[in-house]
Amino acid sequence: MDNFKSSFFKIKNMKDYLYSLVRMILICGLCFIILYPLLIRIATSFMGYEDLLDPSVRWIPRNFTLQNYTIAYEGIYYIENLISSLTLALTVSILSLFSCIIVGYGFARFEFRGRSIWFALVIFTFIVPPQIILVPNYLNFRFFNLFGLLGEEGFNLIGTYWPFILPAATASGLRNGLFVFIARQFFIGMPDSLEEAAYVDGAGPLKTFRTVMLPSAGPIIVIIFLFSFVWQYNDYIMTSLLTGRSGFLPFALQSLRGTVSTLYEAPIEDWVSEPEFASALENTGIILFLAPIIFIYLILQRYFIESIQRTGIVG
Amino acid sequence: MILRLLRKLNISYKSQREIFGYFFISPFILGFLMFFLYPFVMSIIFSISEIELTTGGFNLNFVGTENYSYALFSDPDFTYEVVTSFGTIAAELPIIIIFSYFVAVLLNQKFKGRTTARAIFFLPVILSAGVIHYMDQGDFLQQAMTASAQLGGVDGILTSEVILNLLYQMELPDNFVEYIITAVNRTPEIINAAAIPILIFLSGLQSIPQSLYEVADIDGATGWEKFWKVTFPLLSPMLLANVIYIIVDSFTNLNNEIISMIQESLLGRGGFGVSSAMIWLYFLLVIIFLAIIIKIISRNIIYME
Repeated sequence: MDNFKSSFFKIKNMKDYLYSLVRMILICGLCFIILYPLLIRIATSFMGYEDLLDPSVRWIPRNFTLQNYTIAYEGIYYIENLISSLTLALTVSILSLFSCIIVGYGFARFEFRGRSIWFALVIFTFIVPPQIILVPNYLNFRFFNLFGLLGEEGFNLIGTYWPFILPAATASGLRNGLFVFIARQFFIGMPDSLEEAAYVDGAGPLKTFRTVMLPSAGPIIVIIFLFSFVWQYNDYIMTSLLTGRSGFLPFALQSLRGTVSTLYEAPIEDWVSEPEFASALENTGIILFLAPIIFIYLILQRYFIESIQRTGIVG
Repeated sequence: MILRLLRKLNISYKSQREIFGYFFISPFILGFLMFFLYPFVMSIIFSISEIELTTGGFNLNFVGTENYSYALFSDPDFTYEVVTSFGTIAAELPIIIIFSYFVAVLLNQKFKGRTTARAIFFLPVILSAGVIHYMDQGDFLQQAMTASAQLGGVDGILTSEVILNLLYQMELPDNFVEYIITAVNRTPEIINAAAIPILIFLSGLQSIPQSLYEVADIDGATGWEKFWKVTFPLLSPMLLANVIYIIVDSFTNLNNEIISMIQESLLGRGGFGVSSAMIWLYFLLVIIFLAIIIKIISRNIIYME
């Protein structure tokens, strides 16, 4: 009997072991597919000119060099453009964070007439593709006059930060409908007793929000901030239409080839006309572009994933 | 302070709450009117007009349904691309849903390196930059990668002759086999599209109380039964959210041919008027599509009280 029992457990152990092995292989494989585009970019970015033309060099550079980085760094005016891209993303994400949390709190905790209609409109703004309002919004900011309140001519806000600041501050920026939704779901889940205790102590709704609700909203603050920051930093269409296409990293990246061929003399000037070399330069530029958000993600990632578990984004 | 003022004015508690409610959502009301409703209505007007840019602004000439009939009947690509894009999403929706559920279950289990694996699976959300998409289109490296895959005869990941022959010899319907092959070949796209659905399913799985599974265990339920009787019903709200998310995402995505076509015609071919008409036609179809799917799913949805 004892013998049977132990062999039974052995089989069970084997089964568990096999299962976790299969699971590990599966997860590693999927992770590899996700990381593949990034890895191949990193690999090429360290290759010298000879390696790039040599088809027998794959993955591991034979002539390891940092030259691509120095050229790309110069070619996209990295520091300058990075600062403006980061400033824009940071401004937008902080403003969206505040406005969406406030609005989400309003929807979650107060009864008022027309609440469900307004909330339906929040969802609607998320479903409508941003391309529908893209052109009218461009014209709106090009001749900005607040329905004629600011004079007939209006102001030209294109090329300034205002077309990003104004919508973000009023919870109607890029995908802000989603953030309002997340914030509302979070505040609905908070226990009533917290608020009631504050009211009994004589605090008004504003003070309650500031001193009781906001400090416990840590998880959604991380989620909304990270999403908003990353989406603004990565955004291309809105930014290209509303900024006049200069002074930000994505546009510098796009004109990298041209910039390098004017900045540098031979041999680099000639090398750029080789598609292999130009592509390696561009991929190096993309790594430089992605570096800050990967860095931020690595810092916030642990906290971010925990937050999602605790808040339960939907439902 | 505001509260004291309201009390002085002898306003009831209920009305006070109403006023504060509106106070809190007032940023949204403002933004909605200025940066959503106004452009939204303008875009309807654009779609029925011809737009002329002048130095001090722009002029609109009413042209009726001309832009719409141009998009529908004269434009060479529009109708074709619309049909293709609906076909693609209808084919991909089930795959993305099943895949993301499967991954969410995997990531919900306890194993070494779980945090790292989760972090990597959400990485596509972080790395989806518009500019990378545009640069890849003309990129040598990308072209070389697709070219080398095409050398094998079939383009994509599934190039092994053995597996392909095996699939064809299983005497399954040809359509089904082709579906599987295309699905496998599009694995990278599907993984990228599944990042947020995985997140949503994962948060749903976390919210199911463990006690329900314990009860099911005591009653002698098998894993299969537990899935259909416990997990699936309780995940159904997340299923609906995911279906909506995937559809909306795929229709607004940069990889979507129509969206890039509309953006092109914004600056070229038809101008603002035609591109507004196109996006409106497309949007209305998407809304109808969404409404039908939501109707079908929400009949079977179960909310946990």
